[in-house]
Amino acid sequence: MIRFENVNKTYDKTLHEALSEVNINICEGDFVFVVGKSGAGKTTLIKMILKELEPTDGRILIDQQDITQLKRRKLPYYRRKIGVVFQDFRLLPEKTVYENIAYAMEIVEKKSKEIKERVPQALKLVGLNHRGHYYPEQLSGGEQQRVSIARAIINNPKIIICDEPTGNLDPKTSIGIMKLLKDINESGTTIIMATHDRDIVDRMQARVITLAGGKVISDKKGGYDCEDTCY
Amino acid sequence: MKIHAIKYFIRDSAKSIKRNSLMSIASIFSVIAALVILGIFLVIAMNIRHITSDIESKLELKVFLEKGVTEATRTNVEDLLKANSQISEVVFESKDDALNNMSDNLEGYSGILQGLKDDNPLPESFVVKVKDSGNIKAVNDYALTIDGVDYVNYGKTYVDALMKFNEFTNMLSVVVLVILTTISIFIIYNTIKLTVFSRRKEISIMKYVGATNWYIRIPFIIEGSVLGITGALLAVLVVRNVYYYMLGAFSGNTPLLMGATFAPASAVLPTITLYFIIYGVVVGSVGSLFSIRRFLDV
Ligand SMILES: Nc1ncnc2c1ncn2[C@@H]1O[C@H](COP(=O)(O)OP(=O)(O)O)[C@@H](O)[C@H]1O
Ligand SMILES: [Mg+2]
Repeated sequence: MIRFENVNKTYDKTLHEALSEVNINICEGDFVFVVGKSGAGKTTLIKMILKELEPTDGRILIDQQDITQLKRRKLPYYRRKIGVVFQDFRLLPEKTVYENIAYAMEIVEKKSKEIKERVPQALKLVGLNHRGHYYPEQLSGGEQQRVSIARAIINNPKIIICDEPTGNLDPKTSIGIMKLLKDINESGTTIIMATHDRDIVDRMQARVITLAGGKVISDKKGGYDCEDTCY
Repeated sequence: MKIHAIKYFIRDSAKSIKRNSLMSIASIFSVIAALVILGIFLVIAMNIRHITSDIESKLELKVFLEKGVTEATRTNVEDLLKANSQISEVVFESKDDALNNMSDNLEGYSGILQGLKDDNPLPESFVVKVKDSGNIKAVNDYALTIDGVDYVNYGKTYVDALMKFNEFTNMLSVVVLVILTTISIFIIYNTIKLTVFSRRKEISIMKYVGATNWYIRIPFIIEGSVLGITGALLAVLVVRNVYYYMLGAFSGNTPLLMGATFAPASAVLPTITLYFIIYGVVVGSVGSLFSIRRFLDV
């Protein structure tokens, strides 16, 4: 359902390629880690799925559709198919937990009746059913990330993309977040997660795509392949 | 765009204005300042127009007949004048009328003038009023072509000067309008840009979740328009009070020039209110549109 075909990316005037000849194929329902050192190109890859960046050349197909050809006007509707989770949570500080999640539904013009039904369900799913009226700053990092996951799944996207979602969390909290993501994946949602957290990757035993210097150097199921042995 | 989204827009705009209350107040004040200056110009321009049209409506042409024209020629001239669609009124002034008018104006000489009664040298004439003072020259030219007309008098230089002046003030108020509009758009643009900047995170989140650009723009446009309209309404109050004060100070009906008076408040204020509100909405929404443009490219 997500397919990179010979994708290259060179940022403006920089000479080295952030991504080079990337070919990936991700199927519906997959759980995929994208790993690699800082600067390997993980975020660049993720931003291209969101069409926040355009490849310098190559094609990116989502559901057989080449998104590099997608009109800018259609972009919002495309993004509604994808949920995003970031390292820094990106919650709105002026809105409560409930409002932050409801907001994602308001934006796509859902009816208030549906919003009132769905938001408490999502809060319950992420284990925060009694935190709706809290403001993000009143929550721990792990709880904030749960809110952002609730927001990512609220419109039932087929794909969820996470860029270092555990990067700001301690190991114990990270495990909880990973369990939540795994549950979401098991309900049928495709998940792509960029990380450089070895423990988490080893624990999950899912598909791992390893990037180094913008190139895919390994793509197999298992743990976090040590980059030294891969070279 | 569904109707129920409107309540979210209003909620978000209100929140944003409250959150940035200091900047909001600042931009309301800059709109007031620009509009009060503009208001003064509008009031002056409207009064000049009022006074000139007042004077213009009193302008008349005097069509003098040749000496000793026959009754038939005179009737013909009168018919032809009345037939002209640009002429609103034609009044005959006989030799005797002319002499009487002159005696009234030159009281001290009435004795001498009465002596002329038997051998009155003054010409007969028609006093002609024109519907639109812009046509006064055309009517002058027309009257001159009629048989039996000797010459026409319409205070040419005076009328021309008045019309030039009128044109000048119209042009000046357009120039002032353009300059002040640009300034206020720029100020609102900067205010909203601060709001947008403080909400850029929110905007990028909205874009990630799949909000359309219009969905993101609308609360900012509402915010800008509210600031613009608030400034406009307060400016109306200021201009209104100043105008009433001025009318009071000049005791309203004191003739200023050739019997013309200030335009009554009822003629000036509704127009200004309407202009200001339109101005507030346009300046506010255009300023918002400009300031948000850069932040939508995510
Ligand atoms: N906006 C940018 N402009 C120029 N170079 C960039 C930009 N973003 C990332 N890069 C470069 O692209 C490469 C990959 O970066 P990134 O995708 O952020 O890596 P990762 O997320 O794996 O740490 C790095 O060399 C980085 O310096
Ligand atoms: Mg990164």
